[in-house]
Amino acid sequence: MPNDDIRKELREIAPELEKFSGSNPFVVPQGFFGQMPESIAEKIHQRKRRTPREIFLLVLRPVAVAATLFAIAFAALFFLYQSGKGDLLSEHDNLIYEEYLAWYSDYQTDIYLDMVMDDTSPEEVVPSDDFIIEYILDYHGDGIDDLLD
Amino acid sequence: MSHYDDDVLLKMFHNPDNSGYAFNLIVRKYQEKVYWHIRRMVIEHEDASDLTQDTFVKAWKGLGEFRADSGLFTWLYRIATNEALSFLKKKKRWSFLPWSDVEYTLESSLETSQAFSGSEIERKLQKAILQLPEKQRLVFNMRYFDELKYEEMSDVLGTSVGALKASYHHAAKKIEDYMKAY
Repeated sequence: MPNDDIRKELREIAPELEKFSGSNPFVVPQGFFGQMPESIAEKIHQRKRRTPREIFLLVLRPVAVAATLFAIAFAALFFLYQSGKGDLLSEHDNLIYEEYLAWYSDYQTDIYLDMVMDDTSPEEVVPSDDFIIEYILDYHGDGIDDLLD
Repeated sequence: MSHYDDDVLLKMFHNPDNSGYAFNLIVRKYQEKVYWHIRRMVIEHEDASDLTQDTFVKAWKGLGEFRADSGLFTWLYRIATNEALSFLKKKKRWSFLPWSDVEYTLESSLETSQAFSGSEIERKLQKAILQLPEKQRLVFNMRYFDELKYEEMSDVLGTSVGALKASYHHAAKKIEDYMKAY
């Protein structure tokens, strides 16, 4: 039987429901509650005597799965980082190369300008006789008499 | 049925020599209340039986750390409620159906279940209860069938007494309207 407070409350809010309160239309198999404590004890006992393999499957397997996922995620991140780093390096190389090219073209331009602006280009140098004689004496001194003869 | 108070049962349980015996007494004392609370949520007897066993296995594991801040009965009810709600959530997830369809399967099991012995009007009442949102259904069952005080319900569900009263009133009105309409 429902207690008085609940019945009174129901009468106020939903009087139609008052007549069913406390009734239980569901049934259970005969002797069900008599066996329940034994079923629960058996279930607890099963948990207690689990073999190491079962414990591994129940406890360590989720850990192993989590570790594997972590390793995959780490490898993916590492790979992404490495490929990004490669791009940065090649960019860095390009910068150095461009700097070198700029320097080289300036250098070439300077040489060209030197050549253009230089009044004493090799074609215009005409060595004097004395210079030639001194050159020959310096480098072919031993055979000078042969040459003069 | 155990006639020991919860305090006495807990003291016995914390003594390693008596823990098995004490737990057996706890099961005998509360199994029916726990079972019916779950059964009204999941409807099928087999499911309710499994979930009741799981509730007590979890209680066995956690009872060592239980310090009676809330009553033993409230604590067991809380575990049972979580088990029932998790089961329904899992059922919804694995059936790949929207929530209303899971409610529909529960409703149709009322039609087919041989474990339902009520009259046609009682079947209608159960169908009306299944139309309620999950939390309202819990609140209604706990008050209407289990006859819990609002304070006890508040401990179990972690909701204020005022909100529970409002929820119960709302649920009762909806059910009454359903009963009148069909």
